[in-house]
Amino acid sequence: MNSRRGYTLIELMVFIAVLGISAAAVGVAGTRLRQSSRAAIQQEQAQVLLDYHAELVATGQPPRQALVDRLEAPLPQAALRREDLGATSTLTLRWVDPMGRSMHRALTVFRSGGSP
Amino acid sequence: MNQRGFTMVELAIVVSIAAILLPLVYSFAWHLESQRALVQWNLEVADATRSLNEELRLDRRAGGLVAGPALRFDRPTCPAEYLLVDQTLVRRADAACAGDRGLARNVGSFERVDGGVELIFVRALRPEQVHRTTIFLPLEAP
Repeated sequence: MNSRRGYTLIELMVFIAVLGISAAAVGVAGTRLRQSSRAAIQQEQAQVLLDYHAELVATGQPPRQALVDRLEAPLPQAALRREDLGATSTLTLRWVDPMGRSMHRALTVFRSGGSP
Repeated sequence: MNQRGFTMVELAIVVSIAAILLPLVYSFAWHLESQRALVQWNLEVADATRSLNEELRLDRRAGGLVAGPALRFDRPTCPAEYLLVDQTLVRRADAACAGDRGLARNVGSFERVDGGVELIFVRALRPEQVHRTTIFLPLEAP
């Protein structure tokens, strides 16, 4: 008696579905990895913007809007908030990263004329 | 003994399935490799941006920024100049002042623009896939 049989269509379809789902998962993970690496560049650009504002706050000078616009360009929905407390100012920058997450970075500096 | 070989139809089916799957697997692997290269490239640009921002901030604070197209800090102690040499951004200074140092690779262009300096990082991950990332760093010394 020959007890061997081939695969049924259902078994083949399940196998192909598992393969497809695995490939899709790997593809999505790769895309997210690429987006997070772009987010790493954005974080450095955010730091550049914060450093620029921090120097202006420390020296008591107003920012130049054209320059601020240029620095904010790679940071979608960039919003800078300044909080003064005693002799220091805390600058908080918020923006949206390529994955749609709300990001923020903060920097505290001594203000112009303030005593450390 | 009930063993038998494959029929021609069975072999044809296996070869057909392999012919369909192999290009799919190959293109998927190619796509993954491109993603990996792009991720590495982005991280290199992020790293270079951080280094350059730090270096330029220190030079700006030390003063002596010369007007003009070149990025030069002319001062009595430790003058420095930023130059593009074979797609590598180099900070040139005396040996007593840290000497010449390469700050960033794959820099396609580097020029002073209004209020800062603009760098374009360029890298051909494949001949038909060239990536450009533009970074702007402020130069105005408050």
